[in-house]
Amino acid sequence: METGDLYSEAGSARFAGDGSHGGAMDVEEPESSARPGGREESDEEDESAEDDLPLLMRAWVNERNAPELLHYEGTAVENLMELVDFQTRQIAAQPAVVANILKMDVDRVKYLVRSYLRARLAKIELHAVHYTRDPLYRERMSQNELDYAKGFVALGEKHMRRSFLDQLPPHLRSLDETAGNGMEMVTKPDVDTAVFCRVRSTVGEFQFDPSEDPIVMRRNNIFITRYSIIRSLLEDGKVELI
Amino acid sequence: MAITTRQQDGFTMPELEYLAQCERVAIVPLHRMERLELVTGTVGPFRPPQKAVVPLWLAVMLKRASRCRIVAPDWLRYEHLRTLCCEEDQPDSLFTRLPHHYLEIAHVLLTNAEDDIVDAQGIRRLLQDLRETRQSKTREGLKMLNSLQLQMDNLSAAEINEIRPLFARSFDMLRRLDALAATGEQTQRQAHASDSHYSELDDTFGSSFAY
Amino acid sequence: MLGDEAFRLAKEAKDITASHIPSYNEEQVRLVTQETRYLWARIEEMIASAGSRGASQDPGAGLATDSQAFSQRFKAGGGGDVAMADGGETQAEAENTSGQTSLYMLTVGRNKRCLLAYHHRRLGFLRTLLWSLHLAPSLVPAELTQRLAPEEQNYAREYARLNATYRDAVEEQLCPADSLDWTASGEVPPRDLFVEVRVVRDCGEIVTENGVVNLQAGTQHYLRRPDVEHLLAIGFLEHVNPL
Repeated sequence: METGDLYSEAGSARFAGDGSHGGAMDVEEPESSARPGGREESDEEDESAEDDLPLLMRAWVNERNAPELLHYEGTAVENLMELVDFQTRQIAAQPAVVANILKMDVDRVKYLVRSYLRARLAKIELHAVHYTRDPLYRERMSQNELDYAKGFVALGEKHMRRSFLDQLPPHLRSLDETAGNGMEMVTKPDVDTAVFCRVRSTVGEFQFDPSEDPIVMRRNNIFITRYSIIRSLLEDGKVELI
Repeated sequence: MAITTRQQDGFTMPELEYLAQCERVAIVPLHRMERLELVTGTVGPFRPPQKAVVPLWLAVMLKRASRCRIVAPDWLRYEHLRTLCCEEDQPDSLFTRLPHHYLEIAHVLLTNAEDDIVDAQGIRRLLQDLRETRQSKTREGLKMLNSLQLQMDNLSAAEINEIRPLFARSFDMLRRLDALAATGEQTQRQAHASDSHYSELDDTFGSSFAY
Repeated sequence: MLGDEAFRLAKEAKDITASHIPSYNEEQVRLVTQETRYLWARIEEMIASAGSRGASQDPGAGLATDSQAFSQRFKAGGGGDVAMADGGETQAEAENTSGQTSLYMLTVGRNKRCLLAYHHRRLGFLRTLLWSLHLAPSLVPAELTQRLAPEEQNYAREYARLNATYRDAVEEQLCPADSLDWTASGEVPPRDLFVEVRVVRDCGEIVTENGVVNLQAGTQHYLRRPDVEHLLAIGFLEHVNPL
């Protein structure tokens, strides 16, 4: 256990140390650390066995915090909605107290799915042109999302044409050019924006900056950093955004 | 937009409470009830006076229906919080360890199950103290911010959400300054752009330039 | 002054907030497009005359095929020695023409950017508004509708249709027998269907799914929200421990 001298670690800016300092008063969080799926976490998590619910909850929080559109968790969404469908059909036959609980349970899952899908739509609208063009992002969208993105782009283009583009000389009607100061009309997500992330499974030494000493990333450490720096760790599930 | 402007700067309080209510708490059921297979996991069977562990949202529902008593988590006890407050107050101390959603859970429990919490009033006071101490530590942390990374272990979800706009904006500002300092060429370009009264517009519409 | 009209439009775009949108300024949009057309015509003339004076000049090279190639030309010619000026003109004349042309080019680019930003911000406002109205364009209040251009009203309808198409496809795939409550407020998580209420004023007996309940002043009950919503709204009942 590391007892924290605040600024001892070379190269690491930190004003908060490892969570496990000063052992005596540590809380074991008997209830609260358990995931909703009821499975206790071990240090190295077994991704394949992970429940769909915590997975989608994390995907939702990640999606809301990441500057770019992330991979669509279609399987988790479908599995959960299948369960919702099954449960919904049980409700009518239950006594009021139980029915009320089942209804709330189902509503909470639907809320999660809805929030997740809506968070993605909002992000798709933000850089729709780029996402529909770049194969990386096309693959990250569901078919429905891709259709939506294309429709959204077409709608915007049509509006701009009818409102003023058609009144400009033909040479000026393009919606895909770079202005004199290098500003592009087709916006892309800024992957260098700041995010807060928490380490899910110990990474070990990690190079935040090639010119600085690596920093040890242990489970539950929290960092604010550039999204681009931890992007691959996020894809591997080693960190989550918070 | 499919999400509101409030939601673009992080999570709303109701959303954080939603996440917090997925965490589990212990209850003492007051009525018998069979095992329930929920989408969000299996609960029960409930056999009073044996304790059961359920998601917070269910605990609150049962509590409101007078079907259970909620067992306050260990960290929400007066003695424990007092010790945390002392630790938190030590000069140069780190953030003390609390559940990721401690503020939301405490809020939900103090609102819905006050009578199950010993000295709820005292606990409210301690939580307030704890929160304020942690907030001032966070402000200290802002001074240490650079454009690469800053470690801030044990900050909770609500606390992060609260500082997110300020920290993220400061971080991005530092990043841009670093980038400018790194390349003289970019500095020149910036200088070129700023000779026009349109540069302010470019800032304003930078993100909305696209159609 | 050059570009003033566009600047005015940009300032109007800045006036758009989450809760306010000014009337669509058709006249200002027209002024900006008009100025842009005029400048573009002048640019074409200048290029053409520069091209004809340059004996060795390939006539096609003088007229850029699109504005992008155009601006690149002028970026490359930032030092004053533009390619098309190497014909019969003196250096000073060439610089003058190229300076004038790049000024026009920049103005044309800014005009277009302001037009885009103006319309873009208005559409953003419109979409946020629609989401807050359950994506029903018919619910847009009349005083707002009259501030929208007909084209914007059309956009609102088509945007709502686009979303309906997406929602139908998603529900068809995920919950054919059920709805996702797609447009329900995204900010408020589901709440307990039951509420604990205290009776403030006698309401007499009400019939619920689970039987008859006597709502006598001072008593407390645990009831289904839809059964008592109206009594809560008029203050005959009050919430106990609202979440």
